[in-house]
Amino acid sequence: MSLRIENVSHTYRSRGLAERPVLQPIAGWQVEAGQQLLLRGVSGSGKTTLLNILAGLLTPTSGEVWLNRQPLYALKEAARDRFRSRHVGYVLQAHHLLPQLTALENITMPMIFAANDRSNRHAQQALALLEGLGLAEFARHRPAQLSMGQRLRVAIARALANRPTLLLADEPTAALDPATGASTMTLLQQTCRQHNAALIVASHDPTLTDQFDRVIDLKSGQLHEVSA
Amino acid sequence: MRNHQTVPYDPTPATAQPRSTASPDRVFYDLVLAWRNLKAQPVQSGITLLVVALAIALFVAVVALNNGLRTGIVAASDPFGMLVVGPKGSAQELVLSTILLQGLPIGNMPYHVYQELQADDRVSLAVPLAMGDNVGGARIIGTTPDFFQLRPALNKPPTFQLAAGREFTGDFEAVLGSKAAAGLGLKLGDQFVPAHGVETGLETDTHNVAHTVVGILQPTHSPFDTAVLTSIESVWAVHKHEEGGNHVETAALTTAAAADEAGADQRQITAVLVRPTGFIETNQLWREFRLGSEAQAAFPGQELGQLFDLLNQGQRILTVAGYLAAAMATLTVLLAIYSATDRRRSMIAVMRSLGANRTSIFRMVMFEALLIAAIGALAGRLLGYAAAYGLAANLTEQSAIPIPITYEMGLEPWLWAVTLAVGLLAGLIPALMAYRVNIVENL
Ligand SMILES: Nc1ncnc2c1ncn2[C@@H]1O[C@H](COP(=O)(O)OP(=O)(O)O)[C@@H](O)[C@H]1O
Ligand SMILES: [Mg+2]
Repeated sequence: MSLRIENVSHTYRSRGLAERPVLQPIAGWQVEAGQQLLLRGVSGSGKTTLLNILAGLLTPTSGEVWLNRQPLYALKEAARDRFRSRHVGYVLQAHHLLPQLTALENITMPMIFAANDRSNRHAQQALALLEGLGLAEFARHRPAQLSMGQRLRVAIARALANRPTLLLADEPTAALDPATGASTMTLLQQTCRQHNAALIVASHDPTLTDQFDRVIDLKSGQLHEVSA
Repeated sequence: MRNHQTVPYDPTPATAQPRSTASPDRVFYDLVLAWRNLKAQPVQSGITLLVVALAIALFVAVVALNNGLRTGIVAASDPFGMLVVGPKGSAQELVLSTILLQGLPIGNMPYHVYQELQADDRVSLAVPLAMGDNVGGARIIGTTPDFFQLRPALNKPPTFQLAAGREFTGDFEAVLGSKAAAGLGLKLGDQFVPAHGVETGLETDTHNVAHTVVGILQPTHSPFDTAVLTSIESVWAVHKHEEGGNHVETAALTTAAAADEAGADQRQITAVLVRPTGFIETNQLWREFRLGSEAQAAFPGQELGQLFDLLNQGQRILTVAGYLAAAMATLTVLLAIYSATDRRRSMIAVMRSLGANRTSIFRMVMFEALLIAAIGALAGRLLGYAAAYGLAANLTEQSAIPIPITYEMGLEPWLWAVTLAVGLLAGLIPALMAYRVNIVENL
């Protein structure tokens, strides 16, 4: 795995709104394979914006993101969508499971997007992922039939579905009680280690600092390395 | 807007990207997702489906009924493909009342019209009809045994074949159509007494001459299945018997009493079915009747053709209504899918974040509209044929003309075209909206 960003900056420009610079140009910055990184910052500091750029979802105003030697924004959009499904797992802030699909089907979806087929092995792999996260018996449950903690675990399994080398998580535990949040965060970190995936977690939770290899503060659109 | 970075960070070329075109399997997955979306909101899906179904049902029912009616009338008039001679008046009413037994006979004419035709060299078959009384709603028709010689064409067997018994020979003997026999519950040897007039109504007055059932016909799928055939003399005798009564006559022989007083030939009939010997003779006879004052001759084919023109005009109007219904169905599906897709923006953004491209999202929404249209169209066929069947049964009940409802194969390509149009038009706008969903703003 290699992730590198060069000169990335972002300014939101929306019709009728003032221009809003969120990320100042970030010169060469990279994440090593298997590294676990905590991205800290107050609400509105641009954490989600950065993660979206890293995921290939939001074209930065300037700069380029290199993931596994592929310049993401040199790709056409459809190719980038496909590339994302194979290389990046993303646990969204609100978890965002698809309500009309079962837990298992939520996990097989990105597999089908990446593989371009609907083979049975997807379900087997998805079940193995659910087992690893202690949710085997909930495979046929719909998101509405799961607790918030269980939903997060399904979202983690879904993010890992295509064995990505990079997993992004945007304030994953924000909706959970502290105990469940802490245990699930530990589970997330363990699972990423097992799957050999680098992990970037955006959070403003100060108690997490110790558990990560690297901590980066996002302040005034700038990245500050806290520990290495 | 974006300053493109030109200096590559790593000179090693990136691994070749798999093509992002979708496999058939992947397209099928979009169809599955579309189906799941529809299933997730059964009420909306069900209602929109029903609206499509009603529009399609309208098309199906109109065409099936029109064709059924046409087939039924052609079949019913099949044995009468000749001249119908009757009193002056509306030719169409003459044809309808004589060969389809619809409405009342338009009037009476003297028996000698038949006698002259019978003696005419240019006539190979002449069958007189005298309509009058009824028994339990079944119309009694006086005729001659020549009636049983009627056939669709010279090389075809006679249309009216006995299933049991024999033809009538003497007075007050009757041969019953298959439905009349079943409806009245009469069998060979049974006796019945005619009621007055052709209508069933509240008529309680009966003529006191008992008739005996001597024969029962096989089904012919024509209104004559509901008729009771006797000799003309029997019909006249019944009316003689009731002369002096104070009835308001509605049918044949109404003027019998008046004719009696005038001392004229009181024997009257309602029509004569005539098969001339050839084409030239047919036209000669037709012209002679047109010039004469006593009777007219009508071509059943021509009169029914006019009826069919009328039916077709009705079909055309109803087809326009069908197009309007289809347009409204399109808008209903559009509205339903648009609002569902609008509510599903975040789901679409999530799918995009999981690697689905815009085209695939577009396809999924199009599939939703097409599924609604296709399933609605299938349900519409069921509804349409069921409605046509019910209406046909009802019309047959009223008119005694059998109306066969059959599967309209020829309608299928056109129905599919309408279905596809509804689906594509209804899906396009929501699908474009889905295609354009901004991922980061909807996550
Ligand atoms: N789509 C957008 N359009 C305009 N401004 C946005 C948009 N998304 C986020 N912002 C603004 O950018 C800033 C950073 O947002 P975000 O990256 O979501 O921060 P964080 O995730 O750290 O809370 C916020 O001030 C927010 O208002
Ligand atoms: Mg955020």
